[in-house]
Amino acid sequence: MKLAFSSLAYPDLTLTDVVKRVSKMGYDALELRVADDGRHLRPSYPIREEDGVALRGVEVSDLAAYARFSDNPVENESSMKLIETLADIASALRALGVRVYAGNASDFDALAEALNSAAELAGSHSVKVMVETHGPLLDKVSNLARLLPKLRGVWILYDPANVIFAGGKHEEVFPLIRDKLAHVHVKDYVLRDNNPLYCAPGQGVVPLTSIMDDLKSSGYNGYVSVEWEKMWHPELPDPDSVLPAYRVYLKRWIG
Amino acid sequence: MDRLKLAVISDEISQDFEHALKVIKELGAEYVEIRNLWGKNAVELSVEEVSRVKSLVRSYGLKISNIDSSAFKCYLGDAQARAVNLGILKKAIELSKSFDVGFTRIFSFWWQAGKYKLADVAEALKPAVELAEAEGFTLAVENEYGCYAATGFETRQLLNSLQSKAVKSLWDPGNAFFARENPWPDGYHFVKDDVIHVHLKDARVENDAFKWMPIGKGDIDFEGQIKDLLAKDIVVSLETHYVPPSHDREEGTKESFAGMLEVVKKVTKGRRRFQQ
Repeated sequence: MKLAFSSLAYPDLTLTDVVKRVSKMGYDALELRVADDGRHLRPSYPIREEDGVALRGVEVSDLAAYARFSDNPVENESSMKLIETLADIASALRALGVRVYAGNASDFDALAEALNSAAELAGSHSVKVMVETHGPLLDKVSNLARLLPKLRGVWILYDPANVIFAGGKHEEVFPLIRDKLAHVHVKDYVLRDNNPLYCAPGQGVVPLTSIMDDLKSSGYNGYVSVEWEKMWHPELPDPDSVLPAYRVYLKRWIG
Repeated sequence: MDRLKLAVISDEISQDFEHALKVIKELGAEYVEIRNLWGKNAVELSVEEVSRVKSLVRSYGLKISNIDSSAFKCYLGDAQARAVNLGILKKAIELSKSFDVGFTRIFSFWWQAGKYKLADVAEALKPAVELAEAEGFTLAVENEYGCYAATGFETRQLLNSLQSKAVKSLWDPGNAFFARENPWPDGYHFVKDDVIHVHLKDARVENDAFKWMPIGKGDIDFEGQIKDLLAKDIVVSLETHYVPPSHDREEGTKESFAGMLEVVKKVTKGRRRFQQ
C-alpha cells in the first residue's frame, strides 16, 4: 500500500506549497482536488504550464473531482463531458483514476449505465473511474449491494467514515467491495451534535485497525489517502500537525 | 492501389487488447494501431507484455501499423518537460523497432497564444529530429488542434523549418477540421507529399460546438480524401472518437468503420458526390 493525502487539507495553500508537503510529511503521493474554483487544479486540459511545473516530481494518486452521475440524462451528459477532460488530465499526470459521485437515483439501471459509460470513456485513456462510497446514495450498504452487480469496469473508492456515519458497518461493506477496490479514504471522527467531528486516528468511532487489517489481508496494494477536510471544516486542527500523526498511525500497515 | 490498407486504433474499441483485436479482425482491417492498452500507454509496456502483444497480434492474423506515444504534447518553454518527452520518444522508437515499424508520431507542443512561432517549435524539436536521424527512424508530426502544428498549412510550415528527411506528416483531417481548416482538399494539399500515416475521424459543428461524427456523417469530404489516399501505399487508421448515444465505444467504432467502408465503396466505383 502507498500513503497519500488529499489536497482538501490545504485550501489556503498554493499547489506548489501543497506538493512540497508530500515529501516533507513522508507521504508517497497526493490526491489532487480538481474543481472549478481552481483549488488545487481546474478541470481544464491541457493543465496550465505553471500547474504542470508545480506538479513535477510528485506522484498523483488520483483526481478528487466532482463529476456526478445519477438517473438524470441531462446531468449524466454534462458529467460525461467532464470525465473526458478529467481522463485527459489524469492520463497526463499518470494518476490512477478519477473519483466520481453517485447522485440521487431511483433507477439503478440508468445510474449503472451512466457509470459504466464513464468507465469505458476513461478506460480508453487508461484511467479508472472510481465511485466513492459517499452520500446521498452510496454511503448506504443496501444501495451498494444493489448497484455493484450492475457495474462493469467501475472501481470503488472506499470511504469507511462516510459509510459508518450513514449507519453502516465496515464488516458489511468490505466483503461487497473488496474485489473492486481502487482507492481508500482514511479519516476518523467522533460524533458531536449528530455531526462528525474529525479527529486524530484511533481516537474516534471509525474502526481503522480492522479496516487496515482487512485491506492488508485482502492483498490491497493501492493508495490509502488521508482526507482531512479542512476545506469544509476550517475549525479543524492544522493539517501540518494532523497528517504526520496519521502517517505514524498507518505506518504499521503501510511500512 | 485500389484498396486502402486499413487499421483501427485498438483503444477506440477496448483496453482489453485481445477483445479489440477480435473486433478489428471481424471488421476486416489488416492492421492494429497501438496507443493505450491494458490501462497503460504502449511505451509503458513491460518486456513480457510486449511479447504478449506480438503473440496476440500474430494469432489474430493482423499486423501492427505503428504505436502512439504522447511525445511532445507538453509546453515548449518547459525544458524539463521537453527532456522527459525526449525520453518518451526514445522508448517509442525502441518499441517501434521491436515491432518492425519504422516511424512513430510526435506532437508539436501545446499552443500558447502569441508566445512562440513555428520556427521556435522547430528549434525545440531539433534533439528529437537528431535522434531520429541517428536511429535511421522517421518521426510523423500529427497535426493536433491543441498544438502549434494544428492544420495542414502549419504542418507544412513546420516541416519546411525542420528541413529533415526524418520528419514526415501524420495527417489527421479531423484535427485540422477542429482547427478550422478545410481538411480536404485544402489542408491535405499542403502535406500530401509527406504524409506517411493517416488518422480518420469525421466532424461537424453542432450546437455551437465541434463534434466528432462517424465517417461519412460529418462535414469532411472523405470521398475526396480517400480517393487521394488510395493513390498512396500507406496505412490509414480509424481513430473513431465518435461516441454514439449509447456511449458504447465499440459500437461507435463499428458504425464509423462501416461509414468508412461505404465511402471507400463509393470512391472505388467512381461515383463521387462532390466536385473536387
